[in-house]
Amino acid sequence: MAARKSNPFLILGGVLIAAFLALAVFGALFSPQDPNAMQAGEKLLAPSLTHLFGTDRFGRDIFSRALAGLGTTFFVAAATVAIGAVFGTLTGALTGYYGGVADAALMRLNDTLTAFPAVLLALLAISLLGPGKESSLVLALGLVFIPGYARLMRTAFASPSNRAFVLSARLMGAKGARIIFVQLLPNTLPTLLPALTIGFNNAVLAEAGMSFLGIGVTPPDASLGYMLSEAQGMLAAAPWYAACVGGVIVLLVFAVGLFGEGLQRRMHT
Amino acid sequence: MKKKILALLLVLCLGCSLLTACGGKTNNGPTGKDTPTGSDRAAANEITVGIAQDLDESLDPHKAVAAGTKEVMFNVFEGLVKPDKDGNLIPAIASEVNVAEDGGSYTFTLRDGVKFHNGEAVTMQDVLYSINRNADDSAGEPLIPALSVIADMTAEDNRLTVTLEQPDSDFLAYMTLAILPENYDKQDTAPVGTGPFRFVSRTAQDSIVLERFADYWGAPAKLDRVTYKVIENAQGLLLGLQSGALDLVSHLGSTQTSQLSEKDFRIEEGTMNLVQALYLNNAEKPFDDVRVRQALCYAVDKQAVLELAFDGYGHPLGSSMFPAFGRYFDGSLTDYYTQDTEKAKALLAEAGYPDGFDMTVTVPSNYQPHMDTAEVLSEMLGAVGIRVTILPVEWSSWLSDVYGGRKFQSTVIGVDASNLTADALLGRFYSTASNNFTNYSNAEFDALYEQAQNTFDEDAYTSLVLQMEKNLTENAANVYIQDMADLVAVRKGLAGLQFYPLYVLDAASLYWADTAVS
Repeated sequence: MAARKSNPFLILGGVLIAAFLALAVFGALFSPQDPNAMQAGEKLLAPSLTHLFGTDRFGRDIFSRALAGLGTTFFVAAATVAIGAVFGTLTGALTGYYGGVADAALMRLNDTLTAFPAVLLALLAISLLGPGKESSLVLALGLVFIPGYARLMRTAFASPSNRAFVLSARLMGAKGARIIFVQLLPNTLPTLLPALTIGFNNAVLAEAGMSFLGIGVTPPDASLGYMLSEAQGMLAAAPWYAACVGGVIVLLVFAVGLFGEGLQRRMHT
Repeated sequence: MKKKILALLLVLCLGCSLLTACGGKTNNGPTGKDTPTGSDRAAANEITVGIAQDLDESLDPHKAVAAGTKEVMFNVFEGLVKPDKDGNLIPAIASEVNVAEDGGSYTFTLRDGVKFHNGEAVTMQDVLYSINRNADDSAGEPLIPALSVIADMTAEDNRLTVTLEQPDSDFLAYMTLAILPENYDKQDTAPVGTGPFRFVSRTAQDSIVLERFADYWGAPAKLDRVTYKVIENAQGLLLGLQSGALDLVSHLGSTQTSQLSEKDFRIEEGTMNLVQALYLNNAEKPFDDVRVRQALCYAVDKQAVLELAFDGYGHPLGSSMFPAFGRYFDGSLTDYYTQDTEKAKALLAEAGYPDGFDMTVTVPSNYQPHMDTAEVLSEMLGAVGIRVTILPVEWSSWLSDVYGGRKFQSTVIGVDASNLTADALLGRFYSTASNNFTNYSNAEFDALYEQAQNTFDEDAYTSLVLQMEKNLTENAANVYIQDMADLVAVRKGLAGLQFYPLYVLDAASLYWADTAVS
């Protein structure tokens, strides 16, 4: 195998993601101040050395809250993508490999789910699961993500199922499950991995959107989306609030996007 | 090359769709060029008032429960007497009120020439109908239980004599109940009263329009038309003011008013005349234990709540009574509990929660001040080990689930008084009262309350009221916080705003200074 071309996308994206992950996981340790501590005398301060991102209307340190919020957002996005990808892949694998009536039925159900606007579907799920809980948000968003993955993975599983290596595996007496997970799954990775990174970004934005609408993470918990919605009310009084939190979201999405792009290039070279 | 152009086009499309998506959002708050601005409305002698919640489904004044509904409909309805801005009761549909020397009967003389908004004259029949409708106990608890004190009503010409079972100093306050035409069955949707403004139209979730009533018996309203615009989000209200779509918004927070330019707006400060508290469901674990409730009280620093969430505005309270009630208000209760984290922890441990517990605060999300208060409280309660989850809900589900259904653990809300009787604030803590949404049940309180119902000596009654108040404080019925400051943003040029000791906005006194005849 020839030496791979250097892949700046993968490297830069990976480094940024690693940094974000470290901040999300160990953020509490770096956190210069208690993210929930309120200070009456320090409301809406502009960014300074003590408060890197300034303070919000309760005098809380925005940087510390952004770190805490990053953790929440990271967790919600990762869990959402995990739910969507696992169930989507399973559905896609079964319908794609076996085909038939089950395939038709499941895919029509899938179409029905896709027909709903995602936000509406998530709203419905959240109101059924009980609002105000992080688990509801993850489940609702996860549910919304399943159809997309299912459709994608169905195609990935269906196209090679008549190829020689599958046929020979079958001749050797391999059962469906083994063929799906051992023979086919690795072959779908070029499709799945970029979809995971894109999905992660969508989930970050979805969490931000849901919390922004007031149906996601609820106060006093911090999440990037909730903070952004709070910042909107203070655009005039504290423009740095929206800018800093929005900047973090943009950077996170950018990092994962880079990483995904890098992965894709690597697989196609 | 072609591909590049295509990509460019796609990016442009995306950009456009993003822009329109953002533009769509502003539809929440009235903006845009077509909306008339403040100066247009000054010329037309009308105003648009922003309100944070839609009115009750029924506009029938006898059935309305929400303070926000009464705030608007105060301009449409009147009783035999009505409150003025100093909290006195002044004659309205009655031109004269005579109280018998022993306080046992009241004689009301109907004012000549009072007309309903539908053009019909107010008759004795209408008055009797309106009072009887509120006193009727044939279908369970009457609309106004206190009217059971009426022994007899006799009408003679234009004089109505109401004889009471016993003298009752609160009786006159109940005669502020709206007088409605007897043979009219559309009060729910097209209310008809006798006030300075008449109801024109209502669009659910959007707006309600009132117009000056030309045949009003008293000093006519100065404005021709008042439109109330429902904007259930604080940011939308603020945008509405800034864009010129709204002229007046009450009940704003200090964070919001500080964002309005002094060139265009004047901020007036009154008090909301309500009791804002962390109301606890006393029937629900762990709040059925008085020690837990007291621990909550010790965990909270009221002054700090005011500083953090209200820039120091507001009047701290210690019980279900606010200063506008004068002699009934006991200011010493405010500092009954002072923040003491250790004591709070000790009480929690004693009650069997050494490690604290989880609790949910249900808050109507359209009221930013209550949301802010809840957020500050969660921080304070967290310091004694109580883990708070804030559950923002829509106003309508707050009304049905929390207030009506009593399905909640705790909530932050302001409770107002529908009239200036002590009963209006304290009656709801009688264990079987239909509006006892906190499920407060205390034998001593019930006994005091019953005793007060049969006490007609002014001083003795006042002393009972003070004891009831103290009972609520000692048993930590709720975590009392404050009577909120009422910050009203008024567009420059609009004058005549008056603060009442009740939760009302008197639109009749408002006028555009430039257009007013002086």
